[in-house]
Parts: sequence; C-alpha cells; structure tokens
Amino acid sequence: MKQGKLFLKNKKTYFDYAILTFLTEVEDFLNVKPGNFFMLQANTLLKKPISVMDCNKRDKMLKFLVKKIGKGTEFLYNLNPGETIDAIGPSGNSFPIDETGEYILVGGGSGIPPLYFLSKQIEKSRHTVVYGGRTKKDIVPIFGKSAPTIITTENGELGIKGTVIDGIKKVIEKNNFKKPIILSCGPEGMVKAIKKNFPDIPHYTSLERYMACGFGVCLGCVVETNEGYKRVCVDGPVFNINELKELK
Amino acid sequence: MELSVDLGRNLKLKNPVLLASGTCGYGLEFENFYPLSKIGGICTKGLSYKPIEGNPTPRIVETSCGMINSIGLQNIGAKAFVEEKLPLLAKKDTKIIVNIFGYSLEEYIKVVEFLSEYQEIDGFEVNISCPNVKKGGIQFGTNPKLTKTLVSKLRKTTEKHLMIKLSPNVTDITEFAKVCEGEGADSISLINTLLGMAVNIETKKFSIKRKMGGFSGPAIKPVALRMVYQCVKAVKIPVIGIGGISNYKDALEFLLIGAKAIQIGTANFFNPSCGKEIVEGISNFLQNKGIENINQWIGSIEDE
Ligand SMILES: Cc1cc2nc3c(=O)[nH]c(=O)nc-3n(C[C@H](O)[C@H](O)[C@H](O)COP(=O)(O)OP(=O)(O)OC[C@H]3O[C@@H](n4cnc5c(N)ncnc54)[C@H](O)[C@@H]3O)c2cc1C
Ligand SMILES: Cc1cc2nc3c(=O)[nH]c(=O)nc-3n(C[C@H](O)[C@H](O)[C@H](O)COP(=O)(O)O)c2cc1C
Ligand code: FES
Repeated sequence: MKQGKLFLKNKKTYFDYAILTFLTEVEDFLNVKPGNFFMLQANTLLKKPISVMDCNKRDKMLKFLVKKIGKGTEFLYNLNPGETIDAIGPSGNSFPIDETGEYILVGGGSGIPPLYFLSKQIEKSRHTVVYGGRTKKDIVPIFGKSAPTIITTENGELGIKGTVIDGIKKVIEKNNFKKPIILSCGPEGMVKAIKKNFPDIPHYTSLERYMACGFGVCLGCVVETNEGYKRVCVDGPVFNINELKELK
Repeated sequence: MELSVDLGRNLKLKNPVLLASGTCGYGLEFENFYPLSKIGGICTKGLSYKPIEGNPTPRIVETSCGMINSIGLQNIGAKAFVEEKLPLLAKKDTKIIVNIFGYSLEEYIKVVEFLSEYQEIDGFEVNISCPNVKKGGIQFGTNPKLTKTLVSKLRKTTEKHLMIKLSPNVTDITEFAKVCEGEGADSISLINTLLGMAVNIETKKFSIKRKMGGFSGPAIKPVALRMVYQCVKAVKIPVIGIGGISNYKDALEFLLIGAKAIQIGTANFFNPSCGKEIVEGISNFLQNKGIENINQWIGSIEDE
C-alpha cells in the first residue's frame, strides 16, 4: 500500500455512473487483485473507498466505476481528463479463486466493478456474471462480449424481469454446475436474499462500510463476525458469508 | 537545525511531532508511507488491561471539516500489546508513548502497573477524556476531585513519564491542568475530541449508532488552540497540543503559543504521510526564518 497520484486520462459517463481511467507512475498501485480498493481524494475531508474495476500494468492504467450518491462521489463523477488526484492503496483482500472452480459472479448497482475485474482474471474457468439493477439506467454496459452475462432488471427494461435471484436460478439451470460458488458484491439486501435462497452454495461477498482511513488504523469500518469485530478495510472487504453475524 | 524537545522525566523527542492515540493504530501501518524514525513518537491506540470490543456500528461519520467517531476504545488489551506489537514497535527508532485507560480507578492502576515493567515503553498518556464510553474515561476527566485522586495514585504506581490527556468537554480546562501538575504529572496533552452529533434527514436516523460521539478534525482547531494557550499560561509542565492539525503551519501555530510538542490525529486518515511532511515543513520554515533551535520558536508569540 502506498500514497500517490492518479492522472485522469479518460472519462465516460452513463446516467449517474462514470468510468474513470487513470494513469499512474506509482508501481505499487498496479499490484492489485479483484476485490482491492483505493481511497480516492474527493473534495471531502476523508478520502472515499472505490473498488478497482480494471488494471493494466503495461499501460500503467487503473480503472474505476463510480456512482454519484453524495458530495464525494459527485466530485469524482465531475473530474475532467487532465486532472490529478491523490490516492491511497491498494487496500483489502481479494476473492478466493482457483482454476477448477465454477463461479457465479453476482453484482448489483455500483457493486459490479470488482466483479468485472474478477471475470477478466478467471476468463479460462467456468463462470457466469449475473448483473442486476432496478432499471436500465442501473446497468452500465461494461461487459460487452467479454464474459457470459445475465442481466436482470426489476421493471424488465433490460434482460430478465426480476432480481438477481432469478438470474442465479437461470445460471444453475443452464450451466449444469456441479459445485458452484457465488462471489457477490452489492446492496446488503441483495446479499441477504442470495443467502436465503441459496443457503447451501458457498458464498463470498465484498462488503461496503463507511471508512475513515481505509488502511486499518481507525477501527471505524468494523463488521461483526463469528470471531468478534473485524476491519472491513484490511481484513476484508471479502468475507465468507457464514462468517458474518450481521447477515444472519 | 535543532528540532529536539525535552518533555521532562526521560522523555526527549527528536522532534515535536507525535501521532495521536486512536489515529495510528499501534504504529506499524505507517511504515507503508514513511519510516517511523522520521517522527518524534507515537501514542498508541488506547489500551486497557483486558481487551475491549468497542461500540456497535455505524461508528463514524464525516461532517463539515471534521468527523465524529464512536469507536468505544476497541483494543487488544495490554497483554496482547506487549506480546504482539511492542517487540516490533521497539525496533523502530521513535518514542513509544502508550495511551491507557480503565473503567475504574483500579483498572487504570492495573494497566499502568503491568506496562511499567516494559523498558521499551517511553511513557504513558493517560486518557481521562474519552467521550465514547458509558463509564470511566470522561468521568475522571470532568470531575476535578476524581482527576486528582487518579493522577496521584498513578504517580505512585510508575516511574515513567506521565502525560495526562485532558477533555475539552468542561467549563474551565485550566482547573484540570493545575490539578495534574499539582499531583506530579510530567506533562499534559489536549484536546481530546469534543462531544458532537450528526443526523441524517433522508433516513431520519442518527448517523452513528450511539447518537453522540467525539468530534475531531480541522473544524476543532480554533477551540484546541485556545485551550492549549490557556493551559500554557496556567501551568509550568509541558503542554502537548492536539486538535485539527493537518499541516506544518497548523503545527507551528500550536508551538508558537507555547505547546512543547504536537500530535496529529484525524489528518493521519486522509493524509497518512502527514507526520513526515509536518516534520519537514517545520524544519524548512525555521531554516528560512534563520531560527536554529525550535525552542526559540516555542512560546515566542508576542504576548502583552
Ligand atoms: C470497499 C468499498 C468499495 C467501494 N467501491 C465502490 C465503487 O467501486 N464504486 C462506487 O461508486 N462506490 C463504491 N463504494 C461506495 C462509496 O465509497 C460510497 O458511495 C462513497 O463513499 C459515498 O461518498 P459520498 O461523499 O459521495 O457520499 P456521502 O455524502 O458521504 O453519503 C451519501 C449517502 O451514502 C452513504 N454512504 C457513504 N459512504 C458509504 C459507504 N462507504 N458505504 C455505504 N454507504 C455509504 C451515507 O450514509 C449517505 O446516506 C465502495 C465502498 C467501499 C467501502
Ligand atoms: C477514530 C478516533 C479514535 C480515537 N481514539 C482515541 C483513543 O483511543 N485514546 C485517546 O486518548 N484519544 C483518542 N482519539 C482522540 C485523538 O487522539 C485526538 O485527541 C482528537 O482526535 C483530536 O485531534 P484531531 O482533531 O487532530 O483528530 C481518537 C480520535 C479519533 C478520530
Ligand atoms: S477504515 Fe479505518 S480501520 Fe477500516
């Protein structure tokens, strides 16, 4: 983990979402794994935690997807190419993966970025992405043909009408997975629903918590686990769902 | 350039910059950003004799120019500290000030007694001012009689440097400063966080679970500066300034009004390199002004 600068090379917006492509000279910034995040400077006192959506070492490129929900994320959304911000990272653990696994990657809303990064890393293993949103505006077109993807919207504007639960059922039916593993990131209501509907499928989820430091010293971001409080920023953000007391 | 300051009773800092308790963990995380040898010392996360779980979440929220926290003194306990953290920390060339607290007089004494055995610890900072626990802590820091008893007992318990950390949540902070001096404290540090609150109009909920918490960050600097100045006038023992310090200029202001050293709190969160930057900033500033010894700057405000 280091502190350093990110230079905004390119920005694309899609309704309330922005995809920000940064360049950096900080080598340590490029040693990232799916699940890692950075604390980004955002015209607020505290920096804001944002997951890595993509990284390319050769081009020294880091990509983030940000949803505008408050003062800090609005600043990031409004950044212009050519501007430079301060960042701290990479922080956190990553999703457990191996080449023989059968994975269902489930993302909701602004929880999709780490799963995009993950799907690129496990290109060769069997996996399908389930990407859910309330409406069309919540589905940022990032995947293209890069990964098998099932989209669900609650009003049926795009993909299957329903929630990610319907999407997961479809994947299980279609893929004939023997021992599927769910890797998720999204609103806690969504994660709880997955747990309730598929209690027997191993499930790792990336949590979001309000963070002050993002590198383990403030104890502001803790989550209650079977072994007491753990810090989401450095012991997580990825946890085995059975470890988490709050999602029971 | 001479940056060293002497806080008394074997606590000499190579420079006047310390990291404040609760904002630097047990110190080691900062090695990602700069070697700890650059700064005068660290004040560890508050330790109690036994480990403490801390408060329910949400524990933090950002406000204008500050934040409110209600961590509730979560810590690993004195025993785990000396086994797991102290040996690693002791290898770093910087002073180790252990911040301690208890829920009762006996617990304060117990933790100081236990830790006093360890040579590697350079001094204690006694937290009598945490607003985030139901009992203990702030009770001692807002009642002069209890402060007196506590400091007097702790003085008899340890030979090590005893720094008492005062609460701003009182009418007259100098009263407490004088009590500490009278009972043999070696130095005082201030301020701890101000009691604050934040609510959310969208969710109609309190922003942190325990409703009230400790307010810190740049927003509290003027209050801290005023209180440090008042205490510098009231006592002869060294006063360590804390509250909203985010850059070398803030630090120089506290030193100018007479603080012998300063601590960086919330700024460590948004700029973890700030300890090193503040030492460098102070050094460059004094050099440019032609001041060779920092002690010439400390307390040099024009004061009629
Ligand atoms: C590990 C991690 C990874 C994240 N990755 C991404 C990402 O890739 N893309 C993205 O768009 N967002 C991501 N987030 C969420 C993002 O950090 C928050 O949306 C952001 O901090 C809000 O800041 P703000 O100043 O815009 O909003 P504020 O004005 O601070 O708050 C607006 C509202 O959002 C709530 N809120 C604020 N911070 C958080 C938080 N950390 N978690 C949950 N609710 C919060 C507040 O309580 C308030 O109701 C991530 C969060 C974490 C912890
Ligand atoms: C998250 C957090 C945790 C803290 N924990 C402690 C603690 O354990 N013991 C203590 O004496 N002070 C604690 N403090 C108070 C700070 O050390 C400092 O006195 C206060 O934050 C004011 O300084 P600042 O404005 O620079 O942050 C804590 C402050 C914060 C923000
Ligand atoms: S955000 Fe500070 S410990 Fe996790």
